[in-house]
Amino acid sequence: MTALIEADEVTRKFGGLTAVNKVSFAVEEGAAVGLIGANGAGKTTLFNCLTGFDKPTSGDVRLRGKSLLKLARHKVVKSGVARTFQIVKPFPDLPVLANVLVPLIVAGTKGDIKAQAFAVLERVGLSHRAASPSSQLSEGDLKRLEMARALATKPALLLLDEPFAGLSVSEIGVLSDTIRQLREDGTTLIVVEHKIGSLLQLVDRVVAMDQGAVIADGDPQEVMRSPAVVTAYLGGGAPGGEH
Amino acid sequence: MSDTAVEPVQPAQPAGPSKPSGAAGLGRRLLKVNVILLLLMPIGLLFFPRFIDNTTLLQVVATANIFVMFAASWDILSGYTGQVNFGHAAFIGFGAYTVALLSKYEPGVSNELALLIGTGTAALLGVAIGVPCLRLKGPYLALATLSVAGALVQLTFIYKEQTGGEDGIAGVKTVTDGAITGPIGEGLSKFVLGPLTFDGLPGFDQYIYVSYFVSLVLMIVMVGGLMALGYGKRGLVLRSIQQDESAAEAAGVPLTRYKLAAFVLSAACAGLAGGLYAQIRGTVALDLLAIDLSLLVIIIAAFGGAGSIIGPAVGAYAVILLQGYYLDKVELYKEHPELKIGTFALLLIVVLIVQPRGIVPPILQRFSGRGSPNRAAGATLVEAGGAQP
Repeated sequence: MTALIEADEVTRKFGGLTAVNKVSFAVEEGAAVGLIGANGAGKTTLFNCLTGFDKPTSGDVRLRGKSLLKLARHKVVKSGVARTFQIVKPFPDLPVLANVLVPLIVAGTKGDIKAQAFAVLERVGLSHRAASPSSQLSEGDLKRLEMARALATKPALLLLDEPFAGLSVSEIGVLSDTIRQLREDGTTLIVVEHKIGSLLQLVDRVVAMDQGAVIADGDPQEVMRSPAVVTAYLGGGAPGGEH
Repeated sequence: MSDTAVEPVQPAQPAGPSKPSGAAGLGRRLLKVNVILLLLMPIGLLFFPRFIDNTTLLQVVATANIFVMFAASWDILSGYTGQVNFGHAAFIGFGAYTVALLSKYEPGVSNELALLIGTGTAALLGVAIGVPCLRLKGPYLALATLSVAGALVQLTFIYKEQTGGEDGIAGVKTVTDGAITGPIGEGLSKFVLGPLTFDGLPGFDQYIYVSYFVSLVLMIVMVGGLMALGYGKRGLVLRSIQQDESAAEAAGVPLTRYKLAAFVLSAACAGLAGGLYAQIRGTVALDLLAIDLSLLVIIIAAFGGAGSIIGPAVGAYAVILLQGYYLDKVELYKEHPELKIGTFALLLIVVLIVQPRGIVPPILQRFSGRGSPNRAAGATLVEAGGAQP
């Protein structure tokens, strides 16, 4: 299979701090990859570099072989990379449906865009809240709204930044089902997540980072057992619990 | 940037019952009430002079028509995208001075062409200010826009010979001289008042009627256009920028293009209105570039309800009628007219404490269950599908 997105020796420095250090990996079309690491490991910086929200100091990010680095953020979105935010960023004063209409409008979508927006909300199970102001949604629904807004850009690759953060166990269950459905629909996923147990049920590959570098990459169970991950993540204990 | 208003939607797979629920049906009926109100307002303003035998009041309402355009053009940038412009007078004054300078130095240029050139130069100023200001936010953007207006005031002193400095420029060709504006104003005056009545008026009164109708026509066209934009798809995108810029970018919004377009459109509309104001007054002076004017525009917009176009429009009538007509009947303000803007500031504080969204959006919401245009757009979009409002 050909790589959908490739990180090639991506390095991001902030002054004297190297947040991401020569990270290389590729994700194939249709894959679901988990990106894990302790706080400060460089996940979010890498995530921002992949989505055009930050520019690497050196290295390259390519989507289907084409570099994304010189593209403006909206062009990265247009080329097929969509993201959500760790701390949800809805358009709070707009109704749920209008949140999803915005990407459809700017993409110049033809036809009945309201029906299309409605269909996207159905995909994430939020169509019954279409007319609610998004400020009235629960945290779990807001995460789904962000996913819907990202899906409305018709992405080849969807990057989810800590989708389970701040959610209750039952909300995580509902959201997991939504994410699983996206996978089945063929969306390629990269998921940054701290809740390893929930993450492992969704992905078929895990990339682990520590101090800006990739320390393990491969089958989820094997990565979790790797001594480097165990040491980095829990200072020796076995990772895998919900925390 | 052209757009169409967002129509009610029939989602392909409605979540609820296929027919609108009772509440949604009521919502739609009330939305129609809003539309009727919005149509009645211009009709009321059109026939207003027929029933008011008071040219002083008419002159004030003509000025209010102009201020509606100032406030609505401010709103499409600041109310919609959240880029708060504290120097809107720069665009207004630029348009006005362009028209006045053309009248002074190129009297062969028609009034209408002068208006177009004024609009164009204001739009160019919008580009010149908009590009460097794209990355500025909040107080920094406010300071930058404020200082541009201040710089233009200084410029009028540097080029005192041309601009007249403190004295400004008098003898600007007026609306009655316009090849298009003149007949439009006269035609409407005769239509509303009756030809004999209009012809029987003294020259100055005729001029007031013509000014009134020309400003009204341009105001209706501009406000109608801005509302179509603001309540339509592109307005929704502008509003998303105001809500959260990085979220808008993640949704694929070309931020620079939209923000700059809003800046230029706002500037162009302000320049056009400023130019017409110059042709109505027959003079331009520093008050058209002054911070007082910029502040008054913001007060009007916030008072009426920023981010809704119609709010600032209604706010302009309320504030200008108070300022130019009713407060002049009070002894205190007769003696100290400079106290007016302070009074408005106080009034604004009270209004914003009681009703932070301004006076108009809550009234519209009472009628139709929706306050802001985008809330209106989104709610209208889904209610036909029977989704819960």
